[in-house]
Amino acid sequence: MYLWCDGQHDTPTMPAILLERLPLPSLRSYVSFSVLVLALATFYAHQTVRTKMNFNPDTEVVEELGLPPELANITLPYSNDEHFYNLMYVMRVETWCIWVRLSSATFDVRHEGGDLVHMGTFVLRDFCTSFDVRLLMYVMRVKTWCIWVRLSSATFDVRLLMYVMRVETWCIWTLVNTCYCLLILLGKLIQNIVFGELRVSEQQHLKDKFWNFVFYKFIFIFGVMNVQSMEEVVLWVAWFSALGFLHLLTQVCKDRFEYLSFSPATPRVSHVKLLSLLTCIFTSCCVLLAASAWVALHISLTICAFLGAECFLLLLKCLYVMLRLLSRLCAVELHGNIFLSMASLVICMQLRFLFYEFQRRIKRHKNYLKVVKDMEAKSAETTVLSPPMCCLVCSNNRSPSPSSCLRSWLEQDTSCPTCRTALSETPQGERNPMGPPGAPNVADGIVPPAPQGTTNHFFHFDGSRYVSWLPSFSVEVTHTNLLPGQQAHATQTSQLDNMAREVQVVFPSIPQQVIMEDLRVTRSVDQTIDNILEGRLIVPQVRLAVCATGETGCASGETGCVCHR
Amino acid sequence: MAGSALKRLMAEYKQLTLNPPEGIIAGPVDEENFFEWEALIMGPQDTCFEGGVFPARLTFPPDYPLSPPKMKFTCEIFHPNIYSDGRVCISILHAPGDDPMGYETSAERWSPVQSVEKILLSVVSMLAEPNDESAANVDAAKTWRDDRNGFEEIAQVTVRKSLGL
Repeated sequence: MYLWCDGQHDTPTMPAILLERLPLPSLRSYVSFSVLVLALATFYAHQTVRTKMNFNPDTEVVEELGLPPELANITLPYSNDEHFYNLMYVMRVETWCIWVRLSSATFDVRHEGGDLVHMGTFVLRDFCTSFDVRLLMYVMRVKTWCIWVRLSSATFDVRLLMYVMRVETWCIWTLVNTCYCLLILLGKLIQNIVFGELRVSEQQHLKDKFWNFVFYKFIFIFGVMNVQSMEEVVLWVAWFSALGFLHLLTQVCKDRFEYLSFSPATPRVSHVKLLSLLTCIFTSCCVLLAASAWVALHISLTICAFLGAECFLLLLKCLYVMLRLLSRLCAVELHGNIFLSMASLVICMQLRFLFYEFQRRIKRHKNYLKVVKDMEAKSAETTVLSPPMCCLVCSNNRSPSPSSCLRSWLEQDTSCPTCRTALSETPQGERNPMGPPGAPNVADGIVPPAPQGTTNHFFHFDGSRYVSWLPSFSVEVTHTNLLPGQQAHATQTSQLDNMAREVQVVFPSIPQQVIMEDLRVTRSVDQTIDNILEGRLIVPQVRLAVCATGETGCASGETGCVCHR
Repeated sequence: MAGSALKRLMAEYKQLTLNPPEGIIAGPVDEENFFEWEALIMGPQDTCFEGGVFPARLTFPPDYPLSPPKMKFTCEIFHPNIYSDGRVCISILHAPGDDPMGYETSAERWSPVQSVEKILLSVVSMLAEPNDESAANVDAAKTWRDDRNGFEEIAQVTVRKSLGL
């Protein structure tokens, strides 16, 4: 069921297209028509008042005009035409009028046309209780010679006219029409002040939105609410007119704001104008919301829900445009044209990634150069050890220089192709950025300093120690060391190095890494040699593993290791 | 670069034809193009793939042996370490730089001293013992772990299909 999510449809619907073809009168002709009809109605009402109203105010009129009820009870001695004498009578008889008489010795108004004008002003000036004035006015209106007094108190006449108009049905429609006319004129005025000439797209948007609104509200009133009585229809229409008016204004504001934010140089004035208009809309929305709250208290909660939801939506929309406008105004004031957008953030992330990639490549290249240098320096000594054998990489016996194949591999990865020992100077731990786990918990919500030499930070917060509902959490920050050679293996002492060299002299085929590993456990050259002789030391052959983990469907690897270490 | 790759491939082809390993036949599809090989792998004995002959295609990069070849089974095969399109996922075929799963040590990766023979042997051992911890085909890994009989039945179907029965 459609309820109130109307205005979101920006595409013109079927009825909108049909309605757009209707010849609509221009604003000027509509306004003149409205004025004419209103004038007619006023004239009619005036005539009615003149001919039908008499001084003997019946109870209904007294109530309608808000006159004191005792006025209806006064019996008047004179005929209906002689209002003035009636007035005088009232004044004479009623005690509250006595002092009027007394206060003016020359108060002889029995001569018609004598000092009546004087009296009128006198009374108006000095006895401004509402009852006096109204009574007087009532009399004066009927008497033609009181015109000027009548003019001076236009409010009274309007009230009476309104009364007549309310009674006559066709006058109601005139009034409704007048209201719309005024609304349209107000819109036009606002447009002239705030927006100036509307752009084509804005006009189009406005039109679409207007017809959508009308169409859906029509369905809502007659379809959903199933309104029966005329008065209800009038009320609903009035409500939706106000709402629609505000909706359309907000829409134009939004369009204009978008336009302004894209155009490079817009005067501050137009922004301020827009903002003040939005503030007005916002206030009106609040008023409407209050009205719907009143409805909730006095009439029905369901209707209030309908009214309130609409208002709320409009309020949100208005607030949204306002906030955007404000943020733009502030941002322009604070940072000129610089904005932190999503795009710049993404670019920053990309650049960061690029930077790390560069760093990694440079590091690898440095490593490679170092290894190659090292290799060339050592190859002179070790050629005696390695018998002439075919190049493992290109399977060519007559390879012009075996190291060229090796070098091209090392460009890719600085590890021995046979035993996969890392040939870099950086320790193995650097390849595993996980590193050792952090320091044990010091469960008091303190950041314990990580043990010296490692760059891991461990933070533990045990909230339940303090209050039972506080959460407990721990955060571990692990730094990967990007610079080579900064962090040496603590255990790789020179002593261990010497021991490894001793063992390697005996077993040149066993990689140094493996010997080091064993020596770290045994701490003795003899024991390591024993281990090797008894086959307890596992030389990492070329391990063929299925995907990640240790399925070692192993093929016998070449024993001659390419790395001369 | 391509020259040394060709030499190496030719040497490997010669080696494979002279001393063929058990259950493996491999060679270039076309004598003109040594960078596209076809291999026939027999299902290892005493496994559910026993008796099957599985054709696969090996594509070698121009900088072989510095980069690993790609291997893809051209028949239907239901296995935890073979993607459903036939691509083989074993660590020996991964260059040391990239680590799609995140937990392979570089010792298990490609290196230029590896060869076609070693690749095919490790594929055979993979057929015999699937590794369900880093599955390329999650369905297969799940079936392998939870429903071994079902897995073997499917394997038997693949075997029969590979023989054209």
